[in-house]
Amino acid sequence: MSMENRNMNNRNMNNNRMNRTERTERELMDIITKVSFAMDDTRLFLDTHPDCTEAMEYFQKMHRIRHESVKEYTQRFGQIVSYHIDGCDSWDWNSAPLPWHSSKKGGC
Amino acid sequence: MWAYEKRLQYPVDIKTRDPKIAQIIISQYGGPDGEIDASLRYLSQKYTMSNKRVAGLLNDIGTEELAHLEIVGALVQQLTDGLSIDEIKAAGFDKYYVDHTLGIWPQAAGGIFQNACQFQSKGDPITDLFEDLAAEQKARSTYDNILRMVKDPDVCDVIKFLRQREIVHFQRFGEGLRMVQDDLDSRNFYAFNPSFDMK
Repeated sequence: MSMENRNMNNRNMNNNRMNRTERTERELMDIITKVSFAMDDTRLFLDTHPDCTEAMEYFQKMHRIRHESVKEYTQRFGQIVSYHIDGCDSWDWNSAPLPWHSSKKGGC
Repeated sequence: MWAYEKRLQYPVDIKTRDPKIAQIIISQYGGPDGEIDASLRYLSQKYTMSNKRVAGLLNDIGTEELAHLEIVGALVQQLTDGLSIDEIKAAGFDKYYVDHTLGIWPQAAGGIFQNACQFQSKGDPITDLFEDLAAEQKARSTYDNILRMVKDPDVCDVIKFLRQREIVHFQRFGEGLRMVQDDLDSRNFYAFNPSFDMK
């Protein structure tokens, strides 16, 4: 990802954090998608540049935002990682829309 | 092991079905430069990669390729969702339909089934990394060819994302190759197989 893209993503995320009004499921998933991708891309960069402190700091920053966003998403809309299921009474792992379906079919 | 995360790496939301475009995009599901071959190639090569960091890179890229396989599958599914028999026949989708209905099956656009002979795991780090570099370029060319034929902006957007990842992976594999070569004698990188002859 280019530096401009990174800065743009950072700005969007900061805006999202300032407006603490309730985010919709789509907005929250959008943040998770972007921040996770930033980590996916930076992970590969760090694989071949393990001593780059700038990349490491960026990875940690994205990790913090992702952790918060996934936590909020899981609490409000359900699990996206099955290890996060806490053993409650009903099994709702497969009741949410499937990510590979289009929105007209009830997907994400 | 792998833990599934219930989301796509890049969202796919197609509004207009198009079985003709689905038939060319399916090549990146199971074709010669498709995502399942990419994933199997890197996840198989990792075991005999001599440099530990590069073995980890193969594992990470091989994992991302599985996410790309899911994206391409979602594209094909959404482009064919709800087709009528008349639409199937008009688009020439009948030959696929007769065997798979609207199921997703790994094949090339020309109908040839996915086959492990479409990639190599040679057990020689330099040989394998050169194959990986070539594979990323070949997949990029396929995505370029797809982009020349697709008009739907919702489809183009996803294909452009996948194309971009081929370029990033090429760059990382180039760095991986350099790391492997740094472990070797620079006067003759090819004197022997570092994963077999150096034990």
